[in-house]
Amino acid sequence: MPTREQLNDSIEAFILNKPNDYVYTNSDLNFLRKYDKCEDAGLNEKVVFDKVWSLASKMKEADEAENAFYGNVLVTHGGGGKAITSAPEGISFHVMNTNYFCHEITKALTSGRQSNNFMRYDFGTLAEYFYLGNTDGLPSYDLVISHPPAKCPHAELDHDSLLASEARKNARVYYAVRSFAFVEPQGSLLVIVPREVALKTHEDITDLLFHVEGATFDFDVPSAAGDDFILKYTRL
Amino acid sequence: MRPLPLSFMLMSHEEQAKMHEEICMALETISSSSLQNIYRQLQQVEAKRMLIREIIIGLQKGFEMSALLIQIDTTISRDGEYEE
Repeated sequence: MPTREQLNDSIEAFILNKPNDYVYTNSDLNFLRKYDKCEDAGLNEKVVFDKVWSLASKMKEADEAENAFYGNVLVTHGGGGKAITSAPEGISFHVMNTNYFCHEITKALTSGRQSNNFMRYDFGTLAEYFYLGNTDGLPSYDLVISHPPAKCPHAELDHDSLLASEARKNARVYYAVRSFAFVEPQGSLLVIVPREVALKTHEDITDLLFHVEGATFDFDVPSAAGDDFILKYTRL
Repeated sequence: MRPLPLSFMLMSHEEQAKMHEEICMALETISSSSLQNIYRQLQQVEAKRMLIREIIIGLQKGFEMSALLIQIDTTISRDGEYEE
């Protein structure tokens, strides 16, 4: 029985050695699903992302009736693609990743959606948009899903010294605030955070978001009991 | 958009960010009078990201930063001439 580390190593070797035009079989895809070094590896797809898509479908009445979501979605930390594999049909995705293996796994597991939907697989980070002080022409989305890490060296390069300093303290707050810049009017940002820090992270996000964006957003207050792990912010 | 080199994508987040930092420091010194074509690219976010990618590709090929910036500026200027 291979250890976790051996399994991860053999998945990485498989990705590196496959030909460029390789077509994955179902057993290859099952093999790739076992990789546990992506940001979303610890998230239960059924529990976490079903809740994400249920919250998203409530944004528009028509979508709620169909339990669907029609629109453009940005996933700031694509991980192994769980946000996409669990998504309803009809969505165009822009998925960002800074880990090569997770980037390739996300493509392998979700590229089947390309026959009906637009998919952009972007190796990079949202923080790049905020290098060098110019943000003219930021793209906007109906929904932004972020599952940010607590630390991120890219975020610390933000041109705004306040945001860069916040990134050094807590990259989750940084990514939530910067992700909100991509949300269209009436659109929402969903931030997935560990339950134990949800309330504190929410307070820090609202403080910084108000400072950066002013009173342009509404939010759901997470429960004090610590049950919530998805923070929601809607652009007015 | 040209794909990034595998050697860059396999770097750790810290190494990738270090390279981005080096690129940002070089681009910060550019003005409208020094490398005007690159300066223009920096005014739009997607163009800025594409420029950073091109610089990463060049650096991974072993080019030196200042030579690379001059080369990219000249290439953009030639592309502009063809478009006209």
